[in-house]
Order: sequence, then structure tokens, then C-alpha cells
Amino acid sequence: MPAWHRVSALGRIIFLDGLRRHALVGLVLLSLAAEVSGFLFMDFFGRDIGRASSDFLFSVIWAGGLMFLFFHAVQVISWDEERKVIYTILSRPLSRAEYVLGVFTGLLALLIGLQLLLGTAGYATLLVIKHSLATFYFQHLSLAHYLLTWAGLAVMQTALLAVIMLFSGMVRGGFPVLLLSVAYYGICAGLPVVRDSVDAHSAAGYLLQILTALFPDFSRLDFKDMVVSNLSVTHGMQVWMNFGLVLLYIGIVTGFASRIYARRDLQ
Amino acid sequence: MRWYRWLLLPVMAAYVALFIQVESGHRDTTPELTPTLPARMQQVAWSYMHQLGAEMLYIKAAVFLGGRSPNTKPESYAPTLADHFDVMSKLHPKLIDTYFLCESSLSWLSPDNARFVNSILDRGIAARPKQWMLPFFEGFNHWRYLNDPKTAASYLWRAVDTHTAPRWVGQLATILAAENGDIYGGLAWLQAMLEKETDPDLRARYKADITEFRKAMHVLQAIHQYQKVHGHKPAHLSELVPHFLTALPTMSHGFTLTYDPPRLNLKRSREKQQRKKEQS
Repeated sequence: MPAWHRVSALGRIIFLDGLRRHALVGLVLLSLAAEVSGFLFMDFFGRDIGRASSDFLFSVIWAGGLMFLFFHAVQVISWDEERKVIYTILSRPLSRAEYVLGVFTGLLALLIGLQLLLGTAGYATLLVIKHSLATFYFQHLSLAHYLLTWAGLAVMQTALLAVIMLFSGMVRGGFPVLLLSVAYYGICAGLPVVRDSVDAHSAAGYLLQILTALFPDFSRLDFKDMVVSNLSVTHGMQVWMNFGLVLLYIGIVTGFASRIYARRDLQ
Repeated sequence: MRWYRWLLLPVMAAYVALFIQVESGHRDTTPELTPTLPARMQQVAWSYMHQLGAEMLYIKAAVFLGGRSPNTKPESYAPTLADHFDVMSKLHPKLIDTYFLCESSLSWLSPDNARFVNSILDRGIAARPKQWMLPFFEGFNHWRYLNDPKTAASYLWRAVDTHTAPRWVGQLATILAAENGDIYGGLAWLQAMLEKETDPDLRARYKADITEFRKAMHVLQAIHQYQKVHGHKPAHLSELVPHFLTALPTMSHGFTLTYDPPRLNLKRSREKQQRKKEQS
């Protein structure tokens, strides 16, 4: 049986287990209800209604994804360890590295499924809002930019998921993984702000630049401002390089997560 | 557990009574605008959702302005409100509603507030260069609250440069420029507008304005000639007649020529316009 089949089989189990959890079903329903409340949110704005609605909907999708990561994904490996399921799984012809990749694949499928559902509902909401308003208040809605923004959001949260896998292999228990993941997310959010206030050519500036390799600047994949613009999608190589950079980062972190878990003392 | 049931009823009744009391007190309180955290801190806290953070602050400010008591002195909330606009425009510089609310709620309070609003509008102009209303607001603030028609005209021209502004903005810019002594600039702008204009009514209006600007320009040229001959500018326009001008021009279409040495200003008189309207 090839390694990929073993990984995807475990991924399928994790995916189905996630679908059975009422908490995740509740999260999906809550997020969809929040997206529908975009119709109320838009009433607070007098002019830039399209922009405000788009920001709101992407914030809901982001918040839904974060809740999935911080309340479900951080616990999956620790659940297997606490319930001793890990021994059953590893007694099969499955290496520890394949186990980490399998869990990652299953959680990624759940995350992308959630994002697809919320993204589709979000676009439908934006279409309804656009057609309910005069053109002046919502001039452009670009599907290409919407997809680009959605892809940026999905890649950012996939990177967070990879880091959660890394921390899950490094420490025991869901709560320490949650604390480490939140701290990592806080550093990633804060580092660009600190970099902006420090001279880029000073020693501190160079140090912060190096730290950005460890804690990526996710704001580079935030294209929310373009969703209601009429700009061309081809924004040069920079956009695709940012995507490439984070995708490589995900690959490296997942690789490290697998190696670290392979050396982990499970007793 | 029967005693617990008896205790629960008075506790619930007390809770409902206290709740009604607290809520009625809350309804009578004057709404206050609580201070906001600095932009950098909010940028980190909101992270990917920082645009939503700015929009929440906008809603907070708009709800406060709509719900405040008519007796509330604007000076009491102006600094906190200004902080809100500063943070909003830093977190989400593209949101146009911020600038409209900022202009309408702060600029008229004092020249310092007008200067602050202009600094916020500068952020908006950088983020939304195609929006003609933002430079128009800034030009208006310079003219109305800062008594600086020259800078006002430069902002109105920026509004015209967006190619989205209505045609009257360009005409307003020329009038403001001329009011500040920039008659050459105003004339050049009017001629450019005339070349682009296809509407016969507007063309007629521009042509009439150009005639008045040309009259003012002749006087300006006479002042320069006087200065070449005498080494200084005349104290009064009457000194130009008859050696440099056969007669001082008679201005029409609401324009008046004022001489405030060394500056010659062409102003559109509102009184004359009003009189003309009444006559017609």
C-alpha cells in the first residue's frame, strides 16, 4: 500500500470524525448566520456599502476558520493520545510522519470545506447586496479578486494549521498547543506593525526581517481591498511570489512537524 | 429542597426589580464617546480583520453623533472623536464614509480642527486618488475655515484632475484662484475648460468669465508696466489712467476688481449676483 494511500485513509477518518462533531456543525451554522447579518451591517454605512459588506463577510470567514483551528484542530492529536487511539493507529503499517501528514490532510480538508461553504455563501450575499443597491453605492464586484482574496485567506489559515501540527508534535495536551498557537498568531500579526515603526536599515530592522522568515507577514496575502475594485487581476509577480513563499513555508513546517513527531516519546 | 424554591422566587423578583431600575437609569444617561486604543495596537489586535475594526469604530462614532443630546458642547467630545477618525483612517484608509463623517462633524469647530480634518483627508486622498470629494472637502476647509483661497484653489484643481468631479468644481477653482490674485492661472484653467466643454450653455458662461478675466489681466499688465517705469507699484488703480490704461475696465457678470497693493484680486461679488437674480 503506497504511503499516500495510508495518509489519505487517515485523512478521511479525521475528516469524517470532524463532520460528526456537533461543535463543528454549530460553528458552520453560526458562521452562516453571521454572514446573513451582513444585510444588517450594511445599513450602518451611507456610501462605501460594497466595501464595508465585503470586509465584514471576509472577517466572518476568517473568524470561522480561526475558531475551527483554535477550538478543534489544536486538540485532534492530543485527543488521540489521551484516548490511546494513537497506539491503535500506529500499530497499523503507518509511520508517525505519515500519521502527522494524515491528520494534517484531514483537518485541511475540513478547513477548506468550511472556507468553501462560507466563501460561496459570502459571494452570494455580496451579489444580493449589490443588486439591492444603486450602482453608486456598490460599483464593482470582481469574482477574480474575490477568489484571489479567498485563496489568500485559505493559504494563511493553512499555514496556521501547519504550525498547529508542529506544536502538537512538540508538546502534550490541547491547551498548551492552543496557547503556543495563539502566541504564534499574535507574533505574526504584530511583527509587521513593529517593523513599520523601526528603521529597516538598523540592526533591529534586520533582526525583525529575519524573524519574518519564521513568523510570516500574512498581511501580504490580504487582498480584501481589491474585491470591490476594478483593477486588473494581474498585479505582477509579487502577488504570486507571496503565495509561493507561504506555500513553501507550509511545506517546511509540515516536514518539521512530521520529523519532530517521529522522534517524540509517546509514553 | 422546598426551602430553595421559596428562596428562588424572591431572588428572581429582586433581580427583575433591580434590572428595571438599572435599565431606566441607563436610558437617562447621556451617551459618551469612550476613548479608543491607538491604531498600532488595534492593527495587531484585529489582525486580518483590521478593516472591520475601523468599520466598528465608524459605527460607534456615527451612533454617538446621532444619539448625543442637542445641548452637548462639541468641544467636550471633539478630541476623542478626532482620535477615532485618526485610528479609523489608519486602520482602513480606503473607507470613504470615514472622511464624510469627519468633515461634517469636526471641520467647522475651529481652525485647528479644520487643519486636523485636512490631515485625515490627506490620508484619504492618498488611498482613494480617484475620489473628487476628498480634495474638494480639503479645498473647502482651506477656503471657509482657514481663509486660504490659494491653497483651496489648488485642492479644487486636484479634484478636477480626478476626472470624476462635476464641471462646476473647475469653475469654482478659477474663481478662488483669481480671488487670491492668480489671474493668469485662473484664465489658463478657464480656457482649458472651454476647449473641453461641449455644452453650449456652459461654453457661453466660460466665455463670459474669460472676458472678465482678460479685463483683469489688462489691468495687471498695466500695473507691471507702471512698475517698470516708476520702480514701484501704484498705490491706487486710478494712477494707471491715462498713461497705462485709457480707462479702468467696467466689470460685469458679478465680478469686481479689488486692488490690495501689491495684489490685484478678481472677486465674484455675491451681492451683485443676488441683485442680478432679483432683477431677473
